[in-house]
Amino acid sequence: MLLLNNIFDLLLLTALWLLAAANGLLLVRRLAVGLTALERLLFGAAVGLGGISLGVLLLGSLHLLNPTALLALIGLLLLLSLLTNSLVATLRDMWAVIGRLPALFSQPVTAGLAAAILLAAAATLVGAMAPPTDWDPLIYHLAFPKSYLRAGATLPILFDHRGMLPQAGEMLFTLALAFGRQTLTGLLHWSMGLASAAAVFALCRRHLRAGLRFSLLATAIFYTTPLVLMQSITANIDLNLVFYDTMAFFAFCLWARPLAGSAAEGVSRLDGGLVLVGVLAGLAYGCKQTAIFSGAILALLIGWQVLVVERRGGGQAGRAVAGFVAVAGLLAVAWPLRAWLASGNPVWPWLYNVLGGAYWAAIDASLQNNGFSVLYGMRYPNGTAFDAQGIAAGQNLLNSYLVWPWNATMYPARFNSVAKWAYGLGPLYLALLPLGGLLGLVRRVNLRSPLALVGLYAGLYLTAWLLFLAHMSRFFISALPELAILVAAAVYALMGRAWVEGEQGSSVKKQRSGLPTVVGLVVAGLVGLAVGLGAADEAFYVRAALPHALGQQTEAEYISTGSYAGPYAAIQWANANLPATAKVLMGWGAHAYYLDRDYLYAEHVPGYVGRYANRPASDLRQRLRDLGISHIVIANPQEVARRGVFPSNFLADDGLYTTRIYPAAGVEGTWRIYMLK
Amino acid sequence: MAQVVAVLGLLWIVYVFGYYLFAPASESTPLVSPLLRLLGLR
Repeated sequence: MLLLNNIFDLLLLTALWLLAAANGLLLVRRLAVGLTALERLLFGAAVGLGGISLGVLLLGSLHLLNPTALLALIGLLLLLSLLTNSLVATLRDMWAVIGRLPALFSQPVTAGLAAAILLAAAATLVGAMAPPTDWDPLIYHLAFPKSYLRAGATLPILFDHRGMLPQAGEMLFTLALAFGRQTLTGLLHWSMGLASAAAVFALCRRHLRAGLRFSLLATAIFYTTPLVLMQSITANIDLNLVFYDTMAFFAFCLWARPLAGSAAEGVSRLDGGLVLVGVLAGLAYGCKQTAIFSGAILALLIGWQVLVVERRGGGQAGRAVAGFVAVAGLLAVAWPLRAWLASGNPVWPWLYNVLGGAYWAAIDASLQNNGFSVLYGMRYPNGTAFDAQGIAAGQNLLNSYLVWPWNATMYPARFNSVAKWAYGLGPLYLALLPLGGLLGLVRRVNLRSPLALVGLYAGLYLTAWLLFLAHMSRFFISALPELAILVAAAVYALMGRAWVEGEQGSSVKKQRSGLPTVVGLVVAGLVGLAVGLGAADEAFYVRAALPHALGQQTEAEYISTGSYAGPYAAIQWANANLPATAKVLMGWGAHAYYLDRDYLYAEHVPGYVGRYANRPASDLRQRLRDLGISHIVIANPQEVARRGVFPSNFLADDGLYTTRIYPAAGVEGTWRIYMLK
Repeated sequence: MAQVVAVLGLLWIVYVFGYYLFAPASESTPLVSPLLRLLGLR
């Protein structure tokens, strides 16, 4: 039965992607012509899923977030795709893509690469099906959707600094959770990784006119990057961003570089191609605010294309950029509007000093637990410094900014706050990108070639990352598709191989093969090792989740065997014993997802509950009563002191203000539950 | 010139992979350590 449930979730996932692709196709085929079946599926699904997310948000804003209304939304989309015949067209496209898969196994190298991708996909599928136990999904990616469903509306969440972030990915999670499909949430993020890999493949085929082997190599390098694999098994939203960023860049490539003379493939300059770039960039912002960087880069590239490459003058360039910004803004505006209406700041709580916003004060803006704090040496309320992280972990300028690729590869834990994300880049990028760049210089690669455009995009993205987000390597995950393509190009350059299919429009023609064969063999061997190890290691990592994926373990059985057993037991105890009307204050890393009660977080927005460490305890009791709090869940009690919310005598086994009700007196536990007196 | 780049490049690649997989100072072990431990290499 459990196995059937998992299979059903996979079917739902497939159906959702097809429905999205069919409805997205209605717009995509007006904006782009001459696309291949795979491209139609990818562009269609990106647009369609973005539309579904906005539809769920609209229902949530209208207080109609319930299974009936969501079913009506899906039914409407189904009807539309049937009436317009786009569902049939999409099924035909899917059939065409499936029909081409056997060709991947027609030669040993492509078969090996395809096998590595398949192994990675299968391994991550097993991991993605496991019940969530990671920080971000439990604290907000999945916890917020559950709150929305409980309220029947996407009510503002101002007790968490992530509460008003763009939540397109979370809207899809909301859709899944509305029907009790928890496994589907993990699968949704997993599928975004797979779709991103397919986007890398399609980008290579179209933009670089690369052969099957090169395209598969770039895809395998991207997909077996440890960071991508680890994201694939977690219900985060980072891979949504990767998918949308990649598709937006892909759309830009199609718009900027019409493949004249390729009539054989039926390609022509895209009508409305720029609109498609804008649509996808706008939807990317819905996934994560860091899409502002890729959007800005695309705006730059669009201006450059019109002004410098096509020499159509400043006016035309300005109009093109303005058109792009307008379309992207239209698709993204729901999120900043939502934040502004709730808090007075469209990017709440960021830029507090400029834009202001609810529940923050100048002092709080410097205290929030976010990357900027980490980068710029900020402190906890009690004066303890945040752990230095990412770029900030370097001892000096040289260590920090000049050798960061080395550090991000060899010491990935420094670039991530959660141990799991210490899974970093893998060795291929560091080993091959400098060489690829050097060879490019030596051979004077055409700076206007399609490959150079990929390099320019990746370079600009990394520059933005270094300037603003360099405390976490997972924030440049969106540049990995382009970087993987550059690594593949470096492999080919080092092996003296040409990777362009045919001769027309090629940027790297067949090269003299003057390099020693041994270099080629070593490079090929190490690339195979890295790709194979990445996939194999992922399979090894997720082995504990296999019984659950096969339906031999329930959620509780799976979690009880892992490190999340204690917290899960505490929350299940709360679900069984707290009154249905209880409202819980969650403190210091206590995740709300598994809790079936109303809640708010104590520490993520300093001004929401307030800080009472140096005030009378009775003031805090009054504040909690005003907030309707009846119980307090504390995870990691050792953290309590440095957050400054509670007076020292407030939390007690049997004190003046609280009584500990879990675990029983005398029993040690990292998660504790208190009842407010 | 390309030959020189290739030879230097080869050394660089081997160094990066060697450090990544086996250098005790490297913290990159999450990727490979379970397998390497299984194989008794680390």
